[in-house]
Amino acid sequence: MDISAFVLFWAAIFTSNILLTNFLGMCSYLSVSKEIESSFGLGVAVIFVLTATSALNWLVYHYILVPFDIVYLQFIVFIIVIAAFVQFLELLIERYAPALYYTLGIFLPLITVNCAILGVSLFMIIRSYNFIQSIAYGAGSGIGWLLAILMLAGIRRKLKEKMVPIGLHGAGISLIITGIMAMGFIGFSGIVQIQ
Amino acid sequence: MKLKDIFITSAFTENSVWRQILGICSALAVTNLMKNSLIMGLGVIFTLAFANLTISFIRNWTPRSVRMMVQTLVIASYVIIVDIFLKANMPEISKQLGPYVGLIITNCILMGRAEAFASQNKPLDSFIDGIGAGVGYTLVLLVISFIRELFGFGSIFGIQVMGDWWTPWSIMVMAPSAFFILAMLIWHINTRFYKAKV
Amino acid sequence: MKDSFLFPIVFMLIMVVIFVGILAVMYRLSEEKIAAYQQDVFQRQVLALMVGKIAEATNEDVSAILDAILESYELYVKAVNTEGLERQTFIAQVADSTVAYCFEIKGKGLWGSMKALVSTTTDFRTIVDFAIVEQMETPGLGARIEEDWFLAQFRDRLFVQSPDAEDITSSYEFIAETQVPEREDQLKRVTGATITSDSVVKMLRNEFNHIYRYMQDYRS
Repeated sequence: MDISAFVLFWAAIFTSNILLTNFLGMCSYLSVSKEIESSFGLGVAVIFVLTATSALNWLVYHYILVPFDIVYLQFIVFIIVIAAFVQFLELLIERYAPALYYTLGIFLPLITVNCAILGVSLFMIIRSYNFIQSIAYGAGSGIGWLLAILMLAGIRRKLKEKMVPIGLHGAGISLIITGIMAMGFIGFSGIVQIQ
Repeated sequence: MKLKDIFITSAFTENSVWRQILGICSALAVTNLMKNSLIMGLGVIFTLAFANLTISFIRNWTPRSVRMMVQTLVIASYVIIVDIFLKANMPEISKQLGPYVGLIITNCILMGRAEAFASQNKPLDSFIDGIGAGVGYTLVLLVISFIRELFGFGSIFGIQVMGDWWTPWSIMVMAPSAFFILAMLIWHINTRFYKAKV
Repeated sequence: MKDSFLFPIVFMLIMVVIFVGILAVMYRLSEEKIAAYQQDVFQRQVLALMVGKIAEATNEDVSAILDAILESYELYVKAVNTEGLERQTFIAQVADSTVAYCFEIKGKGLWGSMKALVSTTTDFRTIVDFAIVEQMETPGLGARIEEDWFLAQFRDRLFVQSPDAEDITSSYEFIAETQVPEREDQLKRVTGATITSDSVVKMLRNEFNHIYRYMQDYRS
């Protein structure tokens, strides 16, 4: 399988945005997008964790799960790797970069239950990417997620002063905006033709 | 609380999807066909019910410090059981659902019910609560997939209901439609049943 | 006891052992069933791709051959050892004469690798039938290459048009899904999945170039 990692990176950001076409990572996307600053913080954390865990899970899958023939345990193992990595990262940041911890730290526990993280790990195994491709796909998905949440947060800030039917407040209107964004992203379908 | 009340509360009045906006990730991706939605929903009901039962059963022995990890472990185990079952007995559906079965693990509803209900209530109550939450979730999936499949493919549960004159709407097959339909559903439910003033 | 330092760790360990134990037993019990099913699906596909030619040669009914899948497969289909081709090859034989070939081919789509089965006539120039075995494309969009109207376009198509040229296959023009092809070299593409549709044709052309040349040497 030889799709270049570069193409995959762009495709993961635009044509198959993890959130807008695969619906992954919706929970924190809807709840955090009220403010631009926190959206950005969470987005950066997601990029970092996604890139690192897709690399880690790739190694774990190919050097532990496959040789020992326990592939069927992959869900448990992946989620434990992700949880452990996030926990470890939290300790590390708290210890060595307290300033960063105050801005980013609060988002880290949210990440373990972000389906996008586990989703990317599962997708890369199913699509049998190699190590470099997995990292590119992980990083691209993270950036795509950041892009989506930033756009939503920006739009929601503008909407604060607008009249929105009460029944649509919060999640309802966010979903509609997301739907329109998803339609816009379909327009990107053609750009990664350089295979 | 009576078992019936527990069921109604978690399935309808405090439904995870439209009241708490949880579990949307895996809710939308499989909704372009009703059959997939139903199987996904059944998987979630099974996992929710038994994970709740197990977590509630061991709640008095579970140390606080590893509570989250134990919950994740229990949930993940039941999801793997569902996955193995589908692979062995319904391989076609297993192939179509692909990685989304695994994503039941990160479905926030599971952790939410385990934390909010099962870790404080009796096993039987928790079991019913799990079934209730799962049924409520499945209901949402079925409504969305009914609309998407009807307009996108002209069929219901794979049975063609629209004639040849029907031109399928491609947009219904694609992602954006799911967002719109869910938003409309939430809007409708909020104004109709929770008396949100317009 | 609950407050001691060791208890959480011991508790966690016990839980892990119990659950992994249950899962291991469950998995080993269904392992055979899963493998058997996968093989069954594959054989069914191989037979289905060549059944037209078999029916022609034996004057039997297509559905009758397909219904008795196990016997028919045993009777007509044979795996051939094509060393160096690196693609699984099957032939359909009726009364010791070969009526069709079937190759497992590989290519890449937008999202990952694709696997397909293609059956050809005995001169390797015409596609008899074509099926996608494995693909990773977007559900509802690219994944629709598995639909019959798309695959049917390749059925009975003379694919190797100029056996002596550098590229033995010819290029195709894509038209919208709703249009009706006017010329032989027009193919309908899946709406919203231009790259995936293109990948399928690319895969077929690459593989035919490879297989056709190999089989010429193989037979002589």
